This record gives sequence, C-alpha cells and structure tokens, in this order.
Amino acid sequence: MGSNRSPGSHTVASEAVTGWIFDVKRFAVHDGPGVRTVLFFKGCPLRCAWCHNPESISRNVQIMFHPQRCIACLACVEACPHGAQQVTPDGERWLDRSRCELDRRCVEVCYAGALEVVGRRVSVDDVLAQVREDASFYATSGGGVTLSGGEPLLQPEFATAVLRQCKAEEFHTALDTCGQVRWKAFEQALPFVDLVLYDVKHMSAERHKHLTGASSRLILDNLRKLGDHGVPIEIRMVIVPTINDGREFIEAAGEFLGSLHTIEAVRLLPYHRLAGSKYLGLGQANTMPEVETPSLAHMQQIAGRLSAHGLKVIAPD
Amino acid sequence: MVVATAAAETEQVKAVWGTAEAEQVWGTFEGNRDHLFAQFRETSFDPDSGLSLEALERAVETYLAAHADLPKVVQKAHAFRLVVTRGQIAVDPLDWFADKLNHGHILRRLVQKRWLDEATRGPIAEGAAWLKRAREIGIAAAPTGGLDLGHISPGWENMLAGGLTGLIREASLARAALGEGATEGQLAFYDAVEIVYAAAVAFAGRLARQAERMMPAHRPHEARLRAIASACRQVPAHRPRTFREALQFAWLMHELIEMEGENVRSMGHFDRVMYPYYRADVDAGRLTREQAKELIKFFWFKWYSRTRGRSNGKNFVFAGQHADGSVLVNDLTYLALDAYEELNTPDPKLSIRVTPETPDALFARVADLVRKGHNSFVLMNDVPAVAALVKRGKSIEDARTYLPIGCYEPAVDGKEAACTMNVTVNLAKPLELALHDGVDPLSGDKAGPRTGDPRQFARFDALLDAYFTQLDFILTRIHGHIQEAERAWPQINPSPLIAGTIDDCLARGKDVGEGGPRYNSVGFVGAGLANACDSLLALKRVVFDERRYRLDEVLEAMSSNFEGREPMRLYLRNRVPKWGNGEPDADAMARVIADHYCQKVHSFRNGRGGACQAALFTLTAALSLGRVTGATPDGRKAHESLAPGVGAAYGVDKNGVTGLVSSVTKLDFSETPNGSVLDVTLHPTAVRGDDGLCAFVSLMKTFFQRGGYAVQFNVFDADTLRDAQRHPERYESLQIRVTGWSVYFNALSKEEQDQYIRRIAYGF
Repeated sequence: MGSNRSPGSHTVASEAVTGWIFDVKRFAVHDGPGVRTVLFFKGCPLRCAWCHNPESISRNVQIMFHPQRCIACLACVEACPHGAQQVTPDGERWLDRSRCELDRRCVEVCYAGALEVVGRRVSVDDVLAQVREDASFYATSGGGVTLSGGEPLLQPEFATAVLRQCKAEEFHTALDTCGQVRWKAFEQALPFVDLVLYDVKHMSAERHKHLTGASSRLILDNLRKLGDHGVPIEIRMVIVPTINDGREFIEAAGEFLGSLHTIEAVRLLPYHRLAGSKYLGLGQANTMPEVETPSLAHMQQIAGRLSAHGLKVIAPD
Repeated sequence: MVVATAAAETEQVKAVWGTAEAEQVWGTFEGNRDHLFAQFRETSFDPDSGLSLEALERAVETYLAAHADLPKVVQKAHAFRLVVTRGQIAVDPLDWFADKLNHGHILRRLVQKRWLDEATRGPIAEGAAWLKRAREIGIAAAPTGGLDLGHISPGWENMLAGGLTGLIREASLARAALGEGATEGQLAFYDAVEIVYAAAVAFAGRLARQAERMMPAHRPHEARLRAIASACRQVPAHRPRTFREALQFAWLMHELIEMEGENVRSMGHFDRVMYPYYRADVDAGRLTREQAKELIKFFWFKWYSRTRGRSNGKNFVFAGQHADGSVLVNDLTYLALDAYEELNTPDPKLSIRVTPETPDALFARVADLVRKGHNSFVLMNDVPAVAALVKRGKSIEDARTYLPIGCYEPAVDGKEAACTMNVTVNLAKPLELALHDGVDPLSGDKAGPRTGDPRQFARFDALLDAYFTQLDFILTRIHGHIQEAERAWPQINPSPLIAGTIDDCLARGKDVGEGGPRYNSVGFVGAGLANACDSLLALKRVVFDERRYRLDEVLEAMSSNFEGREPMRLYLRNRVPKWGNGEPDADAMARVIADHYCQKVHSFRNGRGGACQAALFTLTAALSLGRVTGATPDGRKAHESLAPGVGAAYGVDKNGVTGLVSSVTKLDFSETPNGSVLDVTLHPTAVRGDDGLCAFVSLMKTFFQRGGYAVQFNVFDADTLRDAQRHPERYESLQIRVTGWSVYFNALSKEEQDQYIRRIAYGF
C-alpha cells in the first residue's frame, strides 16, 4: 500500500492508495450540483466550536456510542480485554476511554449497533466501487462526487488519487475544503477538481484563531490563489449568531469575496445545534455555542448585504 | 315538482341556494366548495321524481321473484332497469355534472349478499372455506369465494366513441352476425346489453327533464340547468359534443357501473381519451383553458366529496404513450395537474406513465407537486409494464394503451378484464411452513405438505427447496379455487353494462365473467418479498455458513418471539445483509424468490382462458397478513407488518434511497405483468429548492432508466408526523401515500401511524 509521493504522477498504481474516511453519504443534494456521493474524510486542522461533525475532527479511529440503541446486554463489557467497557454501580455501561485500545472487540459483539467504529481505511478502488453504483444518478442530474470531511486535503495523496480516478471515469468532482492546508496540496488536487466548495468562517485573523484554533491568514491566502487559478468556487458560510453574523464581518467578507474572480456563488447555511448527541457519543464536551438557529429574515438580511458586493448568494427561503 | 308550489319552493330555494339574480356561470367553484363537499352527505333527492327506497326495493324483489327462471344476466339487466328508471333522482343546480340516484345499493346487495352467498354455500363452498381460512392464518388474502369482482376498468374509448346507442347497434349487428348459430346464453347476453344501455339512456333523460323542471324555481342557475339538460340528452346516448359532455358521460357511467355491482378501478387515460374534446372546444373558442380547468375541478371534486380522503381514491392516468408508441403529453396533461394543485385534495389518485421520451418538464411538474404535499401520485414505467404485458400475450399496440387498475396493475384499455387483486400471497408464510414441516406455527393448522424436519437439513439448499415446495403448494391450491370460482362467475355477477364496453364481449356474445373480453387475466400478488428474502438469507448465513446458531436455537427463539433472545434477534437483523441496500447476496436471494414466484404463477391459466399474472406489492396486506405471521428469521417480531410494496423491510434500508433503487431495479419487472411498486420516503431537506427539485427528478428518472416499475413518494420528517399524532387538529390536510393510496394521516389507525413513523425515522 504505500502512498504516492509524486503529485500528478501516473506511474504508481493510484487505485492502491488508501486513506481514512468516516462516512459516505449518497443522494446528497446540496453539496455541489445535482445528486452527489459525498466522501467524508477523517481529520481536520481546525477546531470550530460549532462543528456539527465532531467525529470528523480527529484523524484517529474513534468509538461512538449511541445510547438509544443500547439494550444493556453488556456483551461489550465481557468482550473488552482492557476493562475499558465497564458497568457502573447503577448497572449502566460506560466506556472509560483512557483504557480503550480501540481494538473493536466491543463493537464486534454489539449487535444492536449501539457501538460504532468511526473511521475506516479505504482504497481508491473501494471508493470508486461505491461511486460507480450511483453513476446513473449523476447522469440524470448533472451530479458527481464531493470530497468533504474533515479536511480532504489533509490526505492530499489519497484525495488526489480519488479525484484523478473520478475524472478518468468522467465524474464531476467537487472539493469541500476549509482551506487550512499548504497550497501545495491544492496544486496537487486542482487538475482534477471541477468545483471548490470553500468555507469562510471569519475574516479577522485574531477572531478566527480564537474561534477555530487557527488564524484566517493561510485560508484567505489560499482562497485568493484559487481565485487567480480560475477554478470555479462556491463559498460556504455557516452563520452562527453572535459569532459571525455581525455587520462588520459580513461587510468585510463581502468586500473580500467580491474582489475575487471565480466565485460562482456564496451559500449561506444556518447554524443548528443538532449535533449534541454526537459529542456525547464520542465522549467529548459539547462545544456547540448555545445560540439559536438564525431566523430566515436574518439570513435574508445577510444575503442582501453580501449581494451588494456583486455576489450571487444562495440563502434558505 | 308541481307548478302550483313553485312560488313557495322558490322561497325555500332562495334560502338554500342564495338569491343572486343571475349567477355567473364561471368562476363559481371555490364559492360553492363547501356546498359541493356535502353533496353525498346531504343529497336532496326529489321525492316526486321516483319511488322511495322501500318501494324501489319491493319493485325489484317482485320482479326477481316472478322471473327466477330467466337467465341471471337478464334478471340483473331488468333489476338495473327498474332501479335507474324508477328510483328518485337529484340534480344540483350549483354543480356542472348531473348526478344522483337514490338506489340504496340494491344491485350490489343482490350480487354480494345473495348470488355470491348462494355460490359460496353451494358450488364453490370448498374453495371459499379454504380461502377464508387461508386469510385467517395469513397464507393469502383473496376476496370472498375467490372471485375478484372489483378490479376492472370499462372501455372508456369504446363508450365515448359512439355512445351507448352505438354499443346497442354493435350488439344487434353482432347478434345478427351469429344468426341461427347463436346460443341461448349469447341471446340472453345481447338482450341484457340492450336493456341496460336503453335504461342508462333513459336515466340520463330523466336527469335532463329534472334539470328543466327545476329551472323556474332556480332562475339564477337557469343557464347551468339548461346546459345540464342538453348534455344529458346527448350523453351517454351519443358521442359527446364537448369536453363538458365527455366529463358528464364519464361521471354518469362511473356511477351506473358502480351501482350495477363493479368497482370502476380506472377512470381512463385522461389526457389521451379526453384530449380531442378539450382541444376541439378550445380551438373553436367554445371554452377557455381556465373554464376547462374549472370543469375538471367540479368533476374531480365529486370523487373527493365521496371519499373525503378516507378510502381508496379513483385512478386517473396521464401521459406515457399512444398505441403507436409515440410519446403522450399535451396541454391537457398540464392543465389537469394545475387543477389538481388548486383542488388540494388527496382524491382522486393520479398515475403518471413515463417513457424514455417523457419530457423533463412533466417530471419536474409532478416532483414539485409531490414535494408540496400533493402526494397522491404514482409514477409508472411504460418500458417494463408494456414488455410484461406483451410477454403474457397482448399485442404491442394493445399493451401500450394499458391503464393502471386500482393502483398500479396494468390492463389493456377496453380489451381486458384483469382481476388484478384476485389473491395476495404471503411470501413469508411458506418459510414458516417449511420450518415446521408443513404446520403453521401460530394456528397449529396443517396448512402445507410435509417437507421434512428442517433441523435435519444438512445444506441450505434443502431448506430453500422446502420453501419452494410450500410456496408451490399454496399457489397451486389457490389457482384451483380461483378457477372454480371463475366458472361460477356468470351466476354471481353478470355485468352486461360493463361487458358491452370491452372488446370482444359483444362480438362473442359473452359476458365478462364468461371470458368475453379479448384478454382475461387473474392477478397473483406476492407480498413480503423482503421478509422472505431476508429470512432465508439470515438462516443461510447464521445456521449454514457461519454456524453461529443451530437451527433449533433459532426456531426456539422465534417460537418465543425472541423473548430473552434479543441479541440473537439483533444479530439476525443487523449483521446479515438485507434487501433494499444494494447488497449482492440479499439482492440475489430476492431475485431467486421473485423469479420462482413469477414463473410458477405464469405456468397457470385461469378459468376464463386467460393468463395468471404475477405482481409484487402489498397494499394493506402488509399489515393484515403480517398480523397473523409469527416471528421471522429476519428479526421481525410476530404480528408485525410485512415489508411494504416491493421495498425493504421496515427500518433496514440503511443505505438510503440509492441503495433501495439499486436493489429493487435488480428484479425483472417484465415478469410482473400485474404490477409492483416501491414506496420512497424523502426528507424535506433532500428536495428543497432548485437543487432538491433537480435531485428529485433525477431520482425518478434514474429509477426508471434502471428498469424500475412504479414508485410513489412521501416527503416528510418523522418529527412532523409525531407532532401530527399529538395535535391532529393542526394537520387536517396532511396527506400521506401509504400502501398504495393517498390518505389523510389523521385517517390512519394509531398502529398504522406508528409503523409509518418508525419507518421514516430510520433515515432516508
């Protein structure tokens, strides 16, 4: 298996390249044109508090627990050789993650599906087999494949190999990225990308670092370079009330985005708090801000401000 | 109505109908909607127009008692004549279409309570008893006696082409052609046809006179009453002159045929059959598009006012192709869809036929209606539907004019008596029998042949053989009983009124029940394919391949409904591939079962010289047969519903709609001439906006391109439905399409609602 270290090279059998994903969503509709198959890559360089896919953040395999499915058969407790799966004095099972060696024996015996391994290594072949299953949907809708995550470009060789193979089979490709990666990774992937879906979270370098753990500098630099490169871009902004819905940010974003050449549209996505149970299931603190989903009127207002900068804005209606 | 009382009556009428001096004839639908909605609950039959129900019933009884020696078909014709010429009638000056007869279901009772009873106690007693027990223990569901009297469409084109007088003439020509060679039976049939058509024409004449009599008392509505009178003199006696008359024709014949004792299960190919009348009116400037739409609304609202969304809706089919194979879609197609959207009712039920040439615009229009909540639509794929009919002996031109009967069971327009719901067979039950050496575990009945103690089976193939032996036994037995019942049909329900509209009944001088139509079919509907497939595959995997459990362990767990064996049940359910996920092993198993089922059914001929035709769907049998089916090895608990339609079992289609499509389109639907359907539930976010509409259309087209048969959609999230359960008053207009027809969610039982919610809560 080994990774392909020469960007764009066709000498190494790229279908043998493997990478880590945590989910494949089929019949996805709002992640690029038409009906799409979305591959969710595992691992992300940012730590956005409002992340609704907390299982995407860590590069490592994780055990997720779905309490509503658990039938308390305690087979997991018996199966775990490390004593990580335990029974509390109240008879409740819980996972002591400090002792968990991720050897999956608990998941193997959990027939109820309450324990789940998040993250699996797949080859380009595996991915394409799934993608081909849905090819007839792309043909009737102008759809294709979207790489999302997590951050696909944290695994640039794998992402590029998947994209290259998709293009070899004439599937439309979209790359959903947070932009917090070396430009080299983009260079490698871009020849095989039809559309970039690019997240913009905040303009201020300082606020960005506070909110996501990283400055906005690299992200905005990369976005500028993408604009110069000529690849079509759709900007995606998750609007989180009190965090990035203020006039100042919106105006700054509008000005910056309006100055780029290849922005096809800006898609506004309202923040929602529905991922709370996922944080719990991963044994993590729920970092999602306790603010409401922005109202339609508010979204429309933001859309209006952005449109004033000559941008095509897609907002919920 | 007596002239002397006209003034007093006018006063009374003013109170009821309003006092407007001269009504605007057009643009009145919305204003009169509430009044029209009550038309079947508060029908004002004119007491002076005919006999009271009691007197009418006496007249019919007296006649039947005095003429018991006549052939049944003639008895029925005269009974029909008496009811339509002597019963009280009603014409509504606010409605465009006349209208009602106070018949008290006399003829239906004659057929269903008397003549059918006589047969089930006499010549077909054995079969009737076996089928009754088969229904009770969940082997199969067949109508009483094994005779499907309710799934026929009259020949709409034949009727409209020359009116009933044309059919009378055709009957007399056919009689003359037979000459001396005509049998007593044929002569009786021709007599009966002439009697009922003459009576139907007389009935329309009564409505015309009634409308005229009402004019003085209903001055504001005089124009409409005059139009009604004129129409009822023209139709159904003759070919309609206008679009309105064509609709009037269809309404009257629907009412009369249903009254005679059949269910009219298709109102015909609307945009093919009605289009020439519509086009001619619009071209001649007699009717505007807007007026035509209003007429359709009045027309369709009659069906909705009757069912109020609480029972089977009436099927109108659109688009597809003409007999010559050219694509069919026209202005009337879209106009009718506009009317349907404005009506915003779950009835009637619209079917959309599609071919590879069907334009995207039609897909998009239907998809948009469905996502807005107008989900009474079934989309049907002409490619496998036509191919399947041709394989069963229909000509290609005939096959292309099929109508979906009831839900999605095709029959050739005006040439076929397809008893599409003759039996629904539980595909999971033969496995229960095979696992218990022929004994049904819940009832203890020795319902099948002995196929051996399955615990002794060394290989899975032995179990599969036992399953097919049980299935074949059931099918053969049912087939025999249906044949016997068909032989008794002429004595149970002679149907001269509908027979004359179907080729070649008149030419042959034979009623529908005697095999008069060109094509005569019997539908064998297979229900619970997913449960049979998943259960067999589960046993193959866990017992024979993995040897994780012994068969006796699984049998024991099933007999206790998995009590104390929840981990085993979950293993069976979650760790074995399931139908509906695009999993090769499950898909192959389903194909083996479906192919065997269809081949066996197609090896039979029915009692009227026609084909037995396989189908794969469930309608409400998923619930009713499931209720008497024990726990199954797929992890389904005893008494739970079987899988709906041809789709996945409840809650196991975890690969979403693309997985479902991938599995289902691996079946060969050119082998299901009697139909099939996939239920698809979509989350509202999946079809929102332009992206969503594009995706929705893509889903439809992909399903059809891959050879899928029929599909129906619901667009909901589970939370909405839970809220609707708690607050039914807030969701009075919430429609869902479930097991074949579209109903108000509030009209479902709690159990049905729960099952539905459980299903969609699993993702989409």
